[in-house]
Amino acid sequence: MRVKILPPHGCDRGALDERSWAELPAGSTVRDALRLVRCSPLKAKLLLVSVNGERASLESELREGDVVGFFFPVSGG
Amino acid sequence: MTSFMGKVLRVDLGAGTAESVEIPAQIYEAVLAGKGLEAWYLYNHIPAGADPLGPENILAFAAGALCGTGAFLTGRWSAACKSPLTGGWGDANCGGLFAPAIKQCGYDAIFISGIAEKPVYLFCDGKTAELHDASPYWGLDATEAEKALHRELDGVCRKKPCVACIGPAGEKLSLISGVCNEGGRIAARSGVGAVMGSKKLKAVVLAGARPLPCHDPDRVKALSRELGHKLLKMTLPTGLGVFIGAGGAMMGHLPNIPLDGAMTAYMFREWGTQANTSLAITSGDGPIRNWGGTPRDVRLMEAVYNPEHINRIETAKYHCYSCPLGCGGRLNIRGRKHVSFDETHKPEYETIEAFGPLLMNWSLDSIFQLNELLNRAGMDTISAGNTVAWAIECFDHGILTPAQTDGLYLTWGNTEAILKLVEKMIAREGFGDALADGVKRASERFGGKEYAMHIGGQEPGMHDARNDPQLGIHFVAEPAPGKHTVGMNIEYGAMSLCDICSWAPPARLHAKEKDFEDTEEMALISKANACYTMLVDGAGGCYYGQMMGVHTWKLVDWLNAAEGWDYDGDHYMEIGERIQTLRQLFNVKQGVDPRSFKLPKRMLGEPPLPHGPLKGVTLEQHRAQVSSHWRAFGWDDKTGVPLPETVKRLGIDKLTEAEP
Repeated sequence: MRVKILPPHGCDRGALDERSWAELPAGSTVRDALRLVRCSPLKAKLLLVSVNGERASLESELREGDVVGFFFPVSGG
Repeated sequence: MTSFMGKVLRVDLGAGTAESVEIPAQIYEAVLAGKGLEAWYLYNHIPAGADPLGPENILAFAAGALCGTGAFLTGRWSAACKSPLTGGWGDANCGGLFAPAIKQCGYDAIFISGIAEKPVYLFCDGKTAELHDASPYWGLDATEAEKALHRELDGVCRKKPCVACIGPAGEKLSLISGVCNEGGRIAARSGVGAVMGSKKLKAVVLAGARPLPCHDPDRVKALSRELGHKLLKMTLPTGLGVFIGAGGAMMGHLPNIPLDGAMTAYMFREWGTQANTSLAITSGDGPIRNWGGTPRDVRLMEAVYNPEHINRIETAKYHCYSCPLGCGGRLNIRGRKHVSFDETHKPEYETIEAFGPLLMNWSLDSIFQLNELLNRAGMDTISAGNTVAWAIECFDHGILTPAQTDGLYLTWGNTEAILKLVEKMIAREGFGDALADGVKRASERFGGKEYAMHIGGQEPGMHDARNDPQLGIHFVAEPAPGKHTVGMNIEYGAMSLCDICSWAPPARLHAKEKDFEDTEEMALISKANACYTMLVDGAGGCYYGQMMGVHTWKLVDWLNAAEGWDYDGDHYMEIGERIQTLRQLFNVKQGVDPRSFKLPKRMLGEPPLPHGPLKGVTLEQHRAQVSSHWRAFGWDDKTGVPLPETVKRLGIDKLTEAEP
């Protein structure tokens, strides 16, 4: 299945395509996605790892088309 | 069935007439509604050379395509006209309940020309459209006028009417005035309030109750439910706001990365836009000391503007129509220093930045007062703040003296003087009269042009092109120059436009320095940002929905469901391209040379800042970036004029033949 991963600074993006998508086996979890980009679970927790915008646990199971993201202070107005 | 009402209301204030006009379906297919419909209509109907404050100018109010369908974050209404501030395209938008009120009267837009003999307001309830005497309301501030109109119409209408009106600033033709609704929420930019004032139109009062159409409401609502469930769960640990300033300092040194835009919603839900202030002070995004200062000049000011201070006095959050996010709020400000009101809207980031760091003003309380004063007056806080900053800097350099400023000692951070000056601007009294038309006019009269921050006559929003050079492209390439809501690199990285648009480059991890280079990729990114923003405006969408990105705020899916279409992202981006090209053609028709929109030298980094996150930054390739942006749009890369083949490719030539 294809999943979009938007890792924080300092991670390895080598396994992602140019649009930040990656192929993962069915049944993969957030922890698997983090492993793919070499993001430590501690860092992920501190940066409020999310799936499709909702905060997620490391064991959350991913589905086709999911977006794994992290909190980063972006605002505007 | 689509979501469009299929008609507009055309009002001639001089003749005292109002008529309903059908709009061909092909127009909606081409430009949607909202700003798209305004662009098409105004381009066709305002004659070249029209006086912006004369009878030939047309003031438009429009709702977007998705308004009323159940799609979330699509309740923005737009005002547009020929701008008296720039002489070209002018528009401004705002939230609240006014957008659905337009459609509930049976129209997608209202177009108002002519000048009334005496103050009037337009009343429309979906059955009739009439002009009523507004003499009793002329002179009232926007909030009081709205309350008075509600009192007068209590029991007359089946529902509480929605009111959009001007305050004293618009009545006195201040070129930096806007149009207000819901107690001082303001469509502020481009001088739309002055145009309304010139027409002697105090208010538009809408009380229709028609049902709003939608092709597939179940599908639209299912998409909204999906987003709503997410937003309800988006909460941050209490007290986190204190760390935002530190986050901004860190951001100033990190490379740009693709982000998950959904995460922006956490900040808007928790604090609203004011969360950006401390971030902007430390990151280099927010201007300091009339764009000539650095964080060192306001050391620790981020603590004063820590968003938790404002959250603590928030008494209620409020939401725009069809918005579950709720970035707005009411504040209890009774008894605070400098404050004469009991409450105010939660000030937006733009207002806080423009009257805080930009003026080196350390008094948050004074900003509450200024916010309420300017909202009630109907004056743009961005333009007003930039103008006051110019006055202070001129005073600092001896260009202005106390004899010219009515005895005001306009020194940096002089809260009392700032408050008095703004009161004078609103009243157009003494020195304030000269400043009420914005910084360009003021500097032409008194000198100090080198300190006047404007692009083509309009003061820039509170984001620095030296921090994000794409802002610089849009500040000058946007037909309504100086607007900060068209595109930024960081926002592009959050939206994932590459996942709906085949030609939009993917956001990549890259050093910030790359953003300053003139490349084909940067031109496509700035074009994609502008096209998507125009699409959002045609749909009536909110900028903060846009920032959540295409995987969270599913604009394409909503439009297909609401209209019964099956178009892909490329098709919709072309609609955005068409709207933007129509707005550019409007400027060309009105004789505005796109090359005349230039960044102030200071924003180009001339001279470079001596320290801070923007130390030494210059925008050497800025003009080349603008040329490349024009070329990417199919506009002449030397003049900015849309090429005939582009006009033909976008079908704009056929649209003008469909004039009603």
